[in-house]
Amino acid sequence: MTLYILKRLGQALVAMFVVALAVFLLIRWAPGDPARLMLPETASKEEVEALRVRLGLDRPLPVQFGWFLKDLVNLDLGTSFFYNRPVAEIIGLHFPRTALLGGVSLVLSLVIGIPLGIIAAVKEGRLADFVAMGFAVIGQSVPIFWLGFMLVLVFSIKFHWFPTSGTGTWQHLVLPATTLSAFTMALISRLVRSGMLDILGEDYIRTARAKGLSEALVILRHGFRNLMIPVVTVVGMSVGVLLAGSVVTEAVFAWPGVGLMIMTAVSARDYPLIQAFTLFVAFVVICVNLIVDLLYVYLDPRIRL
Amino acid sequence: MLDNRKVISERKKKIQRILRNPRIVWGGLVIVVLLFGAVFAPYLSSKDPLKQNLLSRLMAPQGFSGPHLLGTDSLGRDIFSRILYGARISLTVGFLTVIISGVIGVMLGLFAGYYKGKTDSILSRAADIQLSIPVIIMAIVLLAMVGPSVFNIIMVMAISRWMLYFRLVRSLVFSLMASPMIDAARVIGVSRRRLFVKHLLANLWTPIIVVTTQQMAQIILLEATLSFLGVGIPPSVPSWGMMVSQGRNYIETAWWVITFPGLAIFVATLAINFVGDGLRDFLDPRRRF
Repeated sequence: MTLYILKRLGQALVAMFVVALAVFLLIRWAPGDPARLMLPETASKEEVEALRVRLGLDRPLPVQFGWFLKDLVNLDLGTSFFYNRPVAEIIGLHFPRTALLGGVSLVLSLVIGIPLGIIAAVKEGRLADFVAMGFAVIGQSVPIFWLGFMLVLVFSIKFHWFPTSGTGTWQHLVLPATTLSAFTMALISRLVRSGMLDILGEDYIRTARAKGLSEALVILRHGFRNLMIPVVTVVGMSVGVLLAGSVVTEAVFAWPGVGLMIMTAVSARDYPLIQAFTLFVAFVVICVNLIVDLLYVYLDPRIRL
Repeated sequence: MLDNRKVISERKKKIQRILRNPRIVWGGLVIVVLLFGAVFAPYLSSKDPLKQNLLSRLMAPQGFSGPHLLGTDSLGRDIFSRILYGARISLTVGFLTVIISGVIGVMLGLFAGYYKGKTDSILSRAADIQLSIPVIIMAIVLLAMVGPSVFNIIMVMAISRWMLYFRLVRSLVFSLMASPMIDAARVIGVSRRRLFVKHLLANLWTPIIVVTTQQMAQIILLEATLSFLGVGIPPSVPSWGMMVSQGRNYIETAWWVITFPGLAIFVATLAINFVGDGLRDFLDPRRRF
């Protein structure tokens, strides 16, 4: 077990290194000069060159990468070109807002998605299944940015129930969280349905029924408990999906999280911030995957690592 | 010898069973309508999708009683026309991306599954690493760097999505390689190329087609999302995602500008997903994808 965790951590380090190297090279090979973008249009060639020297962009790539790695080992992610403040500080400022939005969306999709999936499985092939899976396929097909605008159109512009954009009160959270949770809700209900269908075909369910337990007890006690593994799997998958979806949702609702931050960073060619953010995302996703795998062992003692 | 007539009637039965699946039929019908609209766009609408007319800007949908079926946008361009031409872009980009990422993923999956060992572990690690960054974030970073163009978006999306084919094919080849069929083929001295094409690939078409359909829907959504964010299709080409983004400034006064292009994305994706789900249930009754 300890050996397994150590091995996974080793693999994670390799993955992070590859991500760092790939992103580092890709953004530097691409056209576009951050120094040029940072200075006003009227800046002279000499001024641009001076700034390139100050940012270290005039040095050979291996040297630049060496500096980057050295700072990284000291847990220093660098200084943002655009904000001119430490990158860690910028991400630290924006990420809690994204985490709030993503967290609320995750809870919302679990609270609705799990019951929907269970009902669909229990009523397989009947109207309830049809309706629930209809919702799911709609949730997976609707472009979330458009869904966001449609919600604004109806609930902000027509009924004036919720603000169109921004942050601050709980009312600001309602439309963005609904928008962001649409896809994960669909994902969760579909996977819960197929997980539940598998469970309902197991011997212990037949045993529980044969000994005369009520159907509700069979499903809630014997079915639901064993559903934890598919639920943990899908929550793990959802983290990456929500992070990606937050970029779009934040663009629709002007929600000042990491999604808006990365859009600004890419257009300003803010190399340190782009590098740090992609590494941060990879770190979060890899950690979540590791936690999910460890949870399997805890949830199902039959699983050996 | 195989009886030819029997084979044909088997096939007929299969087609009949597909046609009895409502999701495949309705989804397929919508896709056919969209394809028809995309191909015959110039004949279906007399309006030039790029022609601006500031005198008729932001006109409300007129239905069949006026010249602008779905109204006009902020530059006076006909929205119906733009949606038809946008279908060309979305469907072409989706189709090409699926083909390119499919070819890359299937080939690498075959190699990994066949050669195992080092080849497999290197390719699998690469897939894992790429999966650790969500596709949209990867695509935004890449596209913002190389700049928006139709070619760039196809390449970036293809590179970001090969892993799904790879993982599927790899695991299927693993199980196929354990079957006596492969041993038999080797014993009679089948060449490696023939083994790949006739023995491995020939047995993989069904799952590949199902995954391709599901991928197509996802890729159309991804392209629309990237175009909406301004890093996908360039603004000069009519695309559904960009139309939504251009309509957002007029959402309070002209709801139709933003509503119809988004509806087009939704309907196209929904139809393809319906077909994908229908095919999956049909071809794999255990529903375990």
